[in-house]
Formats: sequence, C-alpha cells, structure tokens
Amino acid sequence: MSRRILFLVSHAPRRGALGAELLDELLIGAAFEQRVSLLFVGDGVYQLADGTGGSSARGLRALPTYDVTDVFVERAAVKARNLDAERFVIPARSLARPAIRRLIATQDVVVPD
Amino acid sequence: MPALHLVAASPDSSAALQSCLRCAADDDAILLIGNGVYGAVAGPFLRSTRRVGLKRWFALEADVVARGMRSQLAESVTLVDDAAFVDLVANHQPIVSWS
Repeated sequence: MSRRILFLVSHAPRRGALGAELLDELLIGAAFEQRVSLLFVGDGVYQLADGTGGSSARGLRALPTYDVTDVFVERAAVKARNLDAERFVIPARSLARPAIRRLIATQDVVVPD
Repeated sequence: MPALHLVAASPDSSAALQSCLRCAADDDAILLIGNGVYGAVAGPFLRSTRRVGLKRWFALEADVVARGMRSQLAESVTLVDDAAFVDLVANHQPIVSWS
C-alpha cells in the first residue's frame, strides 16, 4: 500500500542528528515506494539556505537521485527571512498558506523534525 | 477528515504554536499538550489566535491541572481527558506534531 507521507521541517539546522534522521526516514519511505514529500516552514527554511555545505545540505542534494521531487517551502517564511530562493541547495516549490493547508490535508502521515 | 495538530511547547519558548497557526486549516483541531497548554492561557491565547479562523481548540486536562492553569484558560478551549485524546486521534487525519 502506497501512503502519502509529508516530512515537515520547522527547525533551523544544527540541531544534532535530528535533521539527518528525518532525511533517512524520507529516503527509506521513497525506497519503499511511498509517496513522500518534504515541506519547509518557519525557521526550517534555513535548512534550504544552508551555505556551509553541512551534512543536511549534502543530504538534501541527494533527494533528486531518489526521485524525491515534491519539495515545498513556505513562501512567507522565505520572504520574512530575506532569503534568496535562487540559492537554495535544492529547488523547492514556493507555497502560500492556503496551498500548505491543502498539502497537509491530503496526507496520510505527517512526520515532524 | 480534518487534521489534528498537537502543540507540545510553550508559545514563548518555541515557534511551534505560531507555525501551527500558519499551517492549520479552519476546520482542523488543535490539541495543546505538555507545556503547550500555556498557549491556552486566556491572555496569550486571545493575542495569538485573534487573526486566525481556527475554532476547535482543546487542551489535555492532566497537563493543565499539573501546571495549576485550570482557572486561567481561555473559555473557547475545551479540556479533554486521555480517552477524549484517543477519540480525537481516531477521528482526524493526518496528525501533525509541533514542538
């Protein structure tokens, strides 16, 4: 059975192993043909902007290899932090709040970071 | 089925409640647990929820009583016991945890 699983990132990077564990879970989900997607909200958008080449950025760059392409980001959170979406470590579709609510509503499971 | 959002951190120590408010749909349920119940104290509750359309607010009674906050909760927050917590989980999808 293929389930829809959303991985929800709402914390900034550098929280120890938590980010890496979420990525592991996501890749396992993808490997077992679950319909996985990834959403960055609030301070979580800093994970996409990580310019230091840290482990979370390296993990994120591996996602297209695993056919994980449903990557979304909260538009208002990017704007509020004056970040440049062009420089994110992987491309993410920018969602306004109504679209975020619809995305969550269609999920079977939501996994927080 | 609407979503159930579990908020487990105090509004002043974490962005959990604010992030939840931005991502929850109007017919979703919000259940405050652990230090999250401080978000249901009348003054902060009204300030943080003034501009949102969410109407279904719950707080876990044991966590509220443990913190001595029962008399200070906003009127629009419904207290639930463990059995009602289980009912909420059974009747909502997905369950979204914020901390």
